[in-house]
Amino acid sequence: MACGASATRCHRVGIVKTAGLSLDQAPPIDIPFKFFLTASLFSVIIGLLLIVKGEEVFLSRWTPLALGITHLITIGFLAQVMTGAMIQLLPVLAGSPIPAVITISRIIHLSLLSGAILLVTGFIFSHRFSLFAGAGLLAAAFTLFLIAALISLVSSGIRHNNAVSLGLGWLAIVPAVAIGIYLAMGLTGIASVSDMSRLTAIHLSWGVLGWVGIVLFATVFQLIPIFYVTKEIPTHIRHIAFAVIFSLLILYSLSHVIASRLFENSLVLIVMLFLLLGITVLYAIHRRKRKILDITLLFVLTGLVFLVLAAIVWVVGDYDLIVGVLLLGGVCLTIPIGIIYKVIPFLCWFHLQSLQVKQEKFSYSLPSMKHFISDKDAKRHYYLHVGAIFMVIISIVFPGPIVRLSGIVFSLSSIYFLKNVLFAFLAFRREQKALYV
Amino acid sequence: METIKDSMTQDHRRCDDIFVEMEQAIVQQQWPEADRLCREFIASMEHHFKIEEELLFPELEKAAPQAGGPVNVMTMEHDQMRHLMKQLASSVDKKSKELSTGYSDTLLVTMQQHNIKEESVLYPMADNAVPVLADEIAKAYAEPV
Repeated sequence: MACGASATRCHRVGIVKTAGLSLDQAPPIDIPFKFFLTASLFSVIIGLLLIVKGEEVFLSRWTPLALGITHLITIGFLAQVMTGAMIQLLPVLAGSPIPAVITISRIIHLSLLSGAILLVTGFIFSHRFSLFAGAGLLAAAFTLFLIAALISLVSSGIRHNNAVSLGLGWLAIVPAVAIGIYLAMGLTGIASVSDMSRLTAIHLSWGVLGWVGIVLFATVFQLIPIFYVTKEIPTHIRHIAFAVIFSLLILYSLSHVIASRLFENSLVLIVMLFLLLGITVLYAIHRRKRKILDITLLFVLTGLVFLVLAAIVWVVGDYDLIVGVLLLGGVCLTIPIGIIYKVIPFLCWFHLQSLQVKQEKFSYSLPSMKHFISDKDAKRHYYLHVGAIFMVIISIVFPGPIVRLSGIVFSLSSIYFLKNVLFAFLAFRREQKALYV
Repeated sequence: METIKDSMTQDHRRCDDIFVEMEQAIVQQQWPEADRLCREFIASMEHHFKIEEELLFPELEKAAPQAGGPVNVMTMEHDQMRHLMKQLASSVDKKSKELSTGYSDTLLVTMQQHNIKEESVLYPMADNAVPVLADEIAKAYAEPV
């Protein structure tokens, strides 16, 4: 029985205004599923590209294919995951729903999806129209999301500690996209852009370190005390760290127009700060009360270890491609996957629990979170995923037939991820149906 | 003097400690120990809920009507946790590691997100609205469960 003897009270409070503390205000669960499933499809495409065109990808980071794959990870995978999660999370954090959430999220999802496909096609086939149409759609999707998020935050009276950090991270997408469009103009000869490689580094810094880095760390800081019973990292430390990173990104960007060693070196400071944040999280996890190493935690830990490795390789020397794979594949895929494997089962359980109260089906025994994604399935995916990342790195160092093999393992890993998310959704639907009968 | 937030937060941590030990016993399949710790954990949680539901929440709602919404959500989540604790106890009874860890994991996330909301929103609100309760609450928590 969901509410035991207090079933009536439970039902009553379920319908009163809950002042922002309840997941009841969260949008339908189909929305995050749609974003996560699309992300996993993009990840499958990356694997297939590695199988078909592997050798070409790793010639240099500037090959059309390398640029295409970079954007498949950042825009195809990460933008879907991060926007989908934020649309689900914002109403809970801010206590005020996103206006017309179903329509808005549909527009954002479709624009991100078609924008990513067009942009990547534009890169790979050097097709100017595709490139700009993709960039335009992506800019529209992000603008719409930022406006909707802003309305949600402003219209709620509640100020959430983490909203500042997340807001700062999302703000970084603006320069990343703007510089990206300018670079595309340079690439296609529409504008003459001086020092393309420096400007690309600035674009990359805003996107990967500013947007992905800050949003990912703000999310990790928020979630590790809840999922793994670690101590909370003090709010002011997080705020200061993110504000400093953001300011350093501005200084680094200025190095494009003002020749200054100080401005150029701010990138080193940003990397060091992220390394420090990563070590702080590792330390908090090491000191946690709950000593069980759950599989989702293994994903997060592995992602943090990849971050440390990426920083070391970056400092050691000129291994851009390896740093890129460690950062994009090792950190930016691994940590979100770990979080998704915890968030999806919890959302499924939470939505079903609310439905159970609404339907007054108190005799129905709901399954636990592990019913939606089992440890066994998450673990299998973990081995495939980490194996794929290492194989990709090996194939950069020793090019040859292993490139294709790494593509096969990466594809299998992505298909396994897709299957896990899809099966969780189907299991949710079955339970939902049982509650409606 | 201890604030309401201090005593309540300490009690959260006490429940966490018992939970962590219980979960460890479940994973190692030490069933008599798991059973004992499960009972101890549920008793501690009920003790915590009782002080909130019978003492803190009614007084807080009287003093600050705007707290009504959050209080309702917290009470609803107590019921969710009661239900999960029942499912957990029955899985431990059946000596099923798979079922028990499934429910303990679900309970943990529900519990932690609940605690964070109480500690960051509700308890500071209570310290403002009904500071006179601080002593009484500290005493209530000092009593053995």
